[in-house]
Amino acid sequence: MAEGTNDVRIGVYTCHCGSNIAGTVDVEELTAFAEELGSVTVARNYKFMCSEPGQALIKTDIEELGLNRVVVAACSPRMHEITFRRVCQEKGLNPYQLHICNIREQCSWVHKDGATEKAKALVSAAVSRAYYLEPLERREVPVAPAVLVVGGGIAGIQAALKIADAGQKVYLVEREPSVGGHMIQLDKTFPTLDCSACILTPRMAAVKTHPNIELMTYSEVVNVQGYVGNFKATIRRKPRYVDENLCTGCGICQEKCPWKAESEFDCGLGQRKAIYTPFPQAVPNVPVIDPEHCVYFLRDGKCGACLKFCERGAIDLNQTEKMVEVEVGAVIVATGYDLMDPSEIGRLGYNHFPNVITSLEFERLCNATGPTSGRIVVNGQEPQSVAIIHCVGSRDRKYHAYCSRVCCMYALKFAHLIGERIEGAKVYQFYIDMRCYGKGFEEFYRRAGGEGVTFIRGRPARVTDLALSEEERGKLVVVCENTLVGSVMRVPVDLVVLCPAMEARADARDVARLFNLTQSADGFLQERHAKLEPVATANDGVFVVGCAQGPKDIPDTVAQALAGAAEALALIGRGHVELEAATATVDETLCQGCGRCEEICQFHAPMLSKNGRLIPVSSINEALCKGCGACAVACPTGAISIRHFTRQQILAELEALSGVPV
Amino acid sequence: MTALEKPWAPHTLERIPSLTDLVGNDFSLCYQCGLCTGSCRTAYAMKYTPRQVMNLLQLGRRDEAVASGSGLLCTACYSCTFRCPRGVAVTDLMAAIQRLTLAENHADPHIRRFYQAFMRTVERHGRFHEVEFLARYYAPNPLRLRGQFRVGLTLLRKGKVTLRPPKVKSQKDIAAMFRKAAQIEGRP
Amino acid sequence: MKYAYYPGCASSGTAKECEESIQAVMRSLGAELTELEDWNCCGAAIATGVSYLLSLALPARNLALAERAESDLVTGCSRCYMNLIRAVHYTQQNASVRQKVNELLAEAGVQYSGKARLRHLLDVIINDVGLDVIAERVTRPLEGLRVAPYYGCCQGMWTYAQFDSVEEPHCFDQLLATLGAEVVDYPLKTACCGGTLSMSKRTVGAGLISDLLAAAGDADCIVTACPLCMFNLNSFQNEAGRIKGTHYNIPVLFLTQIMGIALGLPEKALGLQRNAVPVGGLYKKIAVGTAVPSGEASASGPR
Repeated sequence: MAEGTNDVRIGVYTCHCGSNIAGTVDVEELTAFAEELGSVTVARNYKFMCSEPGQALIKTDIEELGLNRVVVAACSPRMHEITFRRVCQEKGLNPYQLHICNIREQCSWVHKDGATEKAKALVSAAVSRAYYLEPLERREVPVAPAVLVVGGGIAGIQAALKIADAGQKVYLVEREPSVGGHMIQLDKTFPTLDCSACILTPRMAAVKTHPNIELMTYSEVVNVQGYVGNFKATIRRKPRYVDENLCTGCGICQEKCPWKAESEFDCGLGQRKAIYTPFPQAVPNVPVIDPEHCVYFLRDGKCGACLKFCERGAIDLNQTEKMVEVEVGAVIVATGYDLMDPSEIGRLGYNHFPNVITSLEFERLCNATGPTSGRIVVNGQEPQSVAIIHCVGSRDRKYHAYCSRVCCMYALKFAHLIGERIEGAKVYQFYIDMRCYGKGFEEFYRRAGGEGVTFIRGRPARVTDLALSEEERGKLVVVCENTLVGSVMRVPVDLVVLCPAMEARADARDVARLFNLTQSADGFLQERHAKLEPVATANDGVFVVGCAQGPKDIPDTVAQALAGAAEALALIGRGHVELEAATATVDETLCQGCGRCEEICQFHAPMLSKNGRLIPVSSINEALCKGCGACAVACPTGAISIRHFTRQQILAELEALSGVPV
Repeated sequence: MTALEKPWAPHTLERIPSLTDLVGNDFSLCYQCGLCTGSCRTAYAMKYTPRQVMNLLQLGRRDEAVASGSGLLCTACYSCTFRCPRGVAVTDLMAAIQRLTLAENHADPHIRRFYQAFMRTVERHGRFHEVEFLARYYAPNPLRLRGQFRVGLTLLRKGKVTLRPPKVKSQKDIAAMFRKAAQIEGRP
Repeated sequence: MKYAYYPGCASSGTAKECEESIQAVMRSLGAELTELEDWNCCGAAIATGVSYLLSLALPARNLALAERAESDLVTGCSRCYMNLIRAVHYTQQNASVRQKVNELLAEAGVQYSGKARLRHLLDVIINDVGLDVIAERVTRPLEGLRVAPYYGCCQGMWTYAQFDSVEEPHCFDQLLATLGAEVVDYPLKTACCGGTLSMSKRTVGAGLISDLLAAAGDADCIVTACPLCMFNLNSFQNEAGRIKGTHYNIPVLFLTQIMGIALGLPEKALGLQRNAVPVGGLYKKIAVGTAVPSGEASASGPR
C-alpha cells in the first residue's frame, strides 16, 4: 500500500531462515503487517533471503518498483549486512539506505511465545528508521603496502615467506634472539617423523635473506596505532650488545665466556653462556648478551673476555635499545603458545622427582643439539621403562577444560623414539582417549603402538616413590586405575614424561590489548568466526594464526599461516581500503570547544583546533573514527551526531517501538 | 525403608531426589577417566570401583551399584570429588548409594546394625553415647566383642569410657528432627 | 581471641586426651574457648549413610546455635569440621536443600541463616595465634625428635582449601618445625586412615592403617590433626603389624599434645597418659637428641 511523502519507497523482506525464524515467527502474518506500514511499497518473505533467489527478489523490486529503501528482517547484521549492501549497490541504490532488522538472534531464537508480536514491533521500528536513512559515500584511503608479522615461529615464518613471495614487504618481529619458535626445539615431528630442524631451518634461513622481509629479532612490538590499511607500529629493538653487521657468527665469544646460565631453550635442562645464541642453527647467527648473567654488567666492567677475543670488534657493550616505527596495511599475530607448568598438579610429582619431566624437556633430550646430545639419559642412566601420561592439565575443569590436541600424537612419537634408541625399553601410555584424527594419524598409531608399548586406559592418580614391593624399589610408581580391566594398577618405571596442556602465552592479555583483540574463554586469541573466519579477528586488518589462536599441530599451523597471508595479501593487494561511512560529524555552529569528545574517544578521532577562530572547535578524523557514538553522548550541546545513526533515525525507531510519540 | 525413588528403567535416567538435590551431582558428565578410582584408598576392595559405579548410574543400572556394597567402603575423604576433571560429586553419589545399600538390605546385618545403633543413641540423647552404642551393636551377637576386647580394655584403663549418657537439654528437639527427616524422605 | 567451641562427641570418650590437650594449650595461648551450649552430634561418618537431610541438619543445628553466639565457631575434630562446613556449603548452594534443612531445624526451634563462621583448630592456631607467638612460648624445643605430620584426609577439600593447599598442605609441617621438631618426609600425610572402616570393615580399615604406620619409617612419632585418625593409628597397631609381618609401637600424638609438650605444660594436663601407645619415651629423645636447626619445614609433598 502507501505511497509515502517525499516519495520514500520501502521494500520489506522477511527471511524464514529455514525454520530458524519461521519456526517461531509467523512470517506470513509479519509480511502482511509490514505491507500496511507507511511508505512501504512492497513486503515479501522467502526461505533464505541471503541466497541467490532471495537476493534476486530484492534486485528485481529495486529495478521494477523503484525502491529507494530496503529493510531485511532476518539474522544479525553481523552475518549479512555486507551481502545485502552489495545487492543494493548492484542495482544503483546507496548501501546505507539498507537496514537490517534482527528478528533471529533478538527474537525467534530467544522467545517461544510472543515472537511474532515482537517481530512486528521490530519491523515497524525498522521501517520508521529506514524512512530517514540517507545515502552516504565511503571514502577510499590508500593502504600501506606492507605487512607486520608478529612472532617468528613456523606460523610467522610461513606467513612472512608467502607474503614476501607475492612481492609485498614484510616486517617480521620476533622477541627471542632467533626465529624458530617451539618447533625448532622439537626433534622429530609426527606423523612423518620428519626431522624438525631439517624442514624448518631452510625456511628460517629464507626469512633472513628474502629481499622483501625485514627480520627484527630480539625485538617486540610495543605500540600499535591506526586502522585497517594504515597501522603504525612501534617496535622496540632490544640491545644485543653485538653489532649484527660486523658479527660473523664464529662463536668464539661463546666459547670464551666464563659465565653460565640456565638455558631457556633447553627448558632449564642444560646451560648456556652469558653471551649466547640459543642453539647452533640460530637465525640470525648473532649472539646476544644477557645482562642478568653477564659479569660485565653485574659487576661494572669486570670481565670483557668476549671483547678481547672478537676479531671483528663486533661486541658493543654500549648499545642501547632502539625504537623503530613501521607503517603497514595489515598485521598477522603469530605469537604461539606456552606449555603449562605441571607443578600445579602436585600429585604427579613434577616438583619432587627429577625423573618426572615434561614433553618439551623430553624433546630436548631427544634432540641432537640438546643437553645430552640426543641420548635419552636421566640421572645419568638410560631409562628401561618410561611412563607417558596424557591429558596433564587438559580436559580438566580445574586447569584447562579443552583438549590440547597434539599430545596423543606426540606421545606415540615418543614411544617410537624410545623404542628406536633404547633397546628393550618398555613404554606405558596412560591415556583416556586416543585422538588420532588427522591425515596419517591413525596409521601412525598403528605403527607406533607396536612391540614394547603398553596402553593403559586411565588417568593416573599419582606418581610416588614409596615402594610397596621389591620391584618398585628405586623406581617411580604410577598409580592408576586400569579402566578397561577395572582395577587399580601400580606401574614401576624409570622415567615419567608428562603431556602438559598447551596454553595461551602468559602475556596473551597484553598482546590482545596491544592489537585490540579479544580472548576466547580459554585464554587464546579469538578468531572472528569459529567456522568461516578462522584467522580474521574482531579488529579489521589484524589476523591471528597458529597456536596463538588455539592448540594445534604443525600442518594446521601452516595452513592457518597461509590463510593469514592470503587475508593480508587480499587486503593490501587492493591498494586501497574503504572507510566505514557511519562516522561522527561535528556541527561547528553548535560546538563550544569543551573538549569532552577528545577526552572520551579511545581512538583519538576528535581533535580540537582553533584554526583562526575565537574558540577551538572539534573535528573528527574519519579514518580513526569507529562510529561508536561515545562522543555524541558526551557532547553537551548536541553538536556531534553519528551518520547513519542520527537522532532523527533513532527516535523514529523508539517511537515505533513504544507507540509513544517522541 | 527406601528413599523416595522408583526403580530406574534401563536407558532412562529417572532422578532420585536424594541424588538430584545434591550440588554438582551430574554423573552424566563422567567421561570414565578413572582418576577417582586411582585416588581412592579403598577401591581395591570394592566390587565396582567408583568409576564403574558412575558408569552403572549412567546406564540406569542403579540396582547393581546398590547391591555391590561399594558405597559402604567410601570413607568420604573427598579426594575423588576434589580431583574429578568434570566436576562430578563422586563422594556424595557414593554416599547416596550407601544409603540405598543399607536401606535395601544389601549390607551385612551387622553393618546395618552399626549404623542404626549409632543413630539411635544420637536420637535418644542428642549426642553419641558409646556404651549404649556398644550394647545395641553387640547385643545380638556378643561373641563379636572378642575382637574388640583389647581395644575396649585399653580404653577403659585410660579412662576414656563414659558410662553416663550425655545430657543435651534439647534432646526432644533432636528426636523431632529425626522424625521429620524420616517423614520427608519417606522412611518408616 | 574468643571463640565458640564445638567439642564433638568423641571428646568425652575416645578422644578425651585430644580434648584435654586442646583446652590446656589454647588456654595457655590466651584463646578463650566457650563450649557451644547444648550442642548436638554432627552425625560423624554415620548420618550420611542413613539420611541425607539429617547429615546436613544435625550439623546445621550447631551452626544455628553458633549464629546466636556471634563468635567464630571452632572445632578440633576434622570430621565434625567437615560435616559443619558441608552444611554451610550445601545450604548456600542449593535453595531446595536449604529449605528442607530449615524445615528440620524448625522442629528444633532454630533456623540457620548462613551467617556462622567456621574455623578449624589448626587455622586458629596458625593464623590467629601465630607461629611467632608460639615460638616465643616454646620452653622445651623438640630438638632431636623426628615427627611425621599426619594431616588426614577430611581436611583436604573442605579444610585446607580455606587456609592452605589441599594436595600439598604445609601448615602442620611449619607448626612442628616452629616447635623445634625435625619434620620427617611423610609420603602418606594426606592419605585417608579409613575412618570408621576400622570398626565396620576391619580388614580394609586395618590395611589402610598399616600402610600409614609403615610409611612413617623411622620417625619417633606420628602427630595427627584429627581425633578419629588418632584413635585408628593408636588402637590397631597390633593388627597392622600382623598384616605387614612386623611389629609396630609408634607413639601417636594429637596436635595439641605435641604443642603442649613443647610449651612445657604438664603431662597430665595433656592427657598423655591416655594415649594407647605410651609416649613417655619421647621425653628422653627430646633431651638427648642432637640439636637440629628449627624453623625449617620439610619441603616434601604427599605421595
